[in-house]
Amino acid sequence: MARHARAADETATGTPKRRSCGTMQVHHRLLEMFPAFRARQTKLEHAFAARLRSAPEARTAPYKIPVVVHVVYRTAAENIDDAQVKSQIVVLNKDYRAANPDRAKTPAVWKGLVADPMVEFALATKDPQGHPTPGITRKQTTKSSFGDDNAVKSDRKGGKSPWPTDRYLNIWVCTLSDGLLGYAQFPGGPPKTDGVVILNTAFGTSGTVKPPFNLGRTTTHEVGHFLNLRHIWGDTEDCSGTDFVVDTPNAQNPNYNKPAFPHVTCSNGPHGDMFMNYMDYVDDDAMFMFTLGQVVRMRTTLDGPRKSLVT
Amino acid sequence: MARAIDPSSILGSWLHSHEEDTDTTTVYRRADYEFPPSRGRKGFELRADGALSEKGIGPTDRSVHTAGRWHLSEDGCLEFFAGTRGSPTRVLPIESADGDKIVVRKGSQTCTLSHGGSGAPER
Repeated sequence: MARHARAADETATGTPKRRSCGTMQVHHRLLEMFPAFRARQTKLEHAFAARLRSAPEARTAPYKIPVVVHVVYRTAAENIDDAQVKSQIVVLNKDYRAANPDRAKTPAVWKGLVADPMVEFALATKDPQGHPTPGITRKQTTKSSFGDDNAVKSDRKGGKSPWPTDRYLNIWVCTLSDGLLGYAQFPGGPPKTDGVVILNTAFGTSGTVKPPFNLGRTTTHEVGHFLNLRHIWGDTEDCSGTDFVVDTPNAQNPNYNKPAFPHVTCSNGPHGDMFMNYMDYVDDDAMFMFTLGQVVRMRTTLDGPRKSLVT
Repeated sequence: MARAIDPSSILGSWLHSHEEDTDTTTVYRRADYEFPPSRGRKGFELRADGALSEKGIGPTDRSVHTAGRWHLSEDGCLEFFAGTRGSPTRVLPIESADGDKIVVRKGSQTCTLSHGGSGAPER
């Protein structure tokens, strides 16, 4: 029997000794499986790096994106009403214009980093055939819940196939299994599954929403991924990961619930994790900001692979 | 204080019940526990033959799974291995395991490496 002293990886504030999460390796394997996705992601990273080296004129006109919301339901309660859908669009238009009143809660040290993405969202007024539409589809299913396997995005699998993903931001709203709040797809991925999926009780601010995910921030977070933002902890648990943004401090793990400021990890003191960033995992009322670096990343996406969405 | 853990009490699928974490412990519950919604939950499945499936949070919030091996040391340290050889990729010092809940200590710990336990890979 040998005796070894070693640090566990569940450290509260320190740096673990070892890589302990296979998440990014799996992501890289997916990129290998879809070479075109990998090529497009690489091209986008190059565009982002080039943009950081340049000084483009400040944007004055917002990016406007048409949205279609697919409500996929089995029970009456899951068939959320139009008002709940519209309440989510209101949230997006506040958060993606830095017009959300709770941004005032940003710690003083980071107030100067709060930036306006200048993205505006509106329910589509014309369907793919050019006919008038409320921008909301409703599809009854026999499935009691959906997993994170994209089935909700397919008519054949009990869900609803998307409207053309190069012209609309597709948002699916349904019951998700295992308590999952939502998931997304980065730009450059397969068109048939492009868009975001949100749990119906975490969508919008009215109707069936339940605290602490009742302020529409799950959709804000997932649309952030849709625009190529990464989690602020860089998707590793050992401080080695990155979100490719320099003005979000390196962080070790997701933060949950309503953390107390500061929460120091990865030698990021004295101010610690930027857990109030939309790309962390805290409760809806504990997240309220994007940084300038994240905004540059999103604009690079909107001027690149997502350009066809902008009207 | 290190204590013996019954391996049968930790077999099966577990998810991080982060709502129950404290400053000093991390809590896992069985996967069929009625968890409240979350943006993502990590977890793991421990099989009797020593096989491990780790559930991680993907970069767009979808779950990702990685296979490996697990071993429980005599002093209650749960070790995860990526392959059949080498150092553990992850070590969870177990505070208690009652069949429904696993409580893991946070912070630096001293664990005893034992050989020959269930699923112990060669080093």
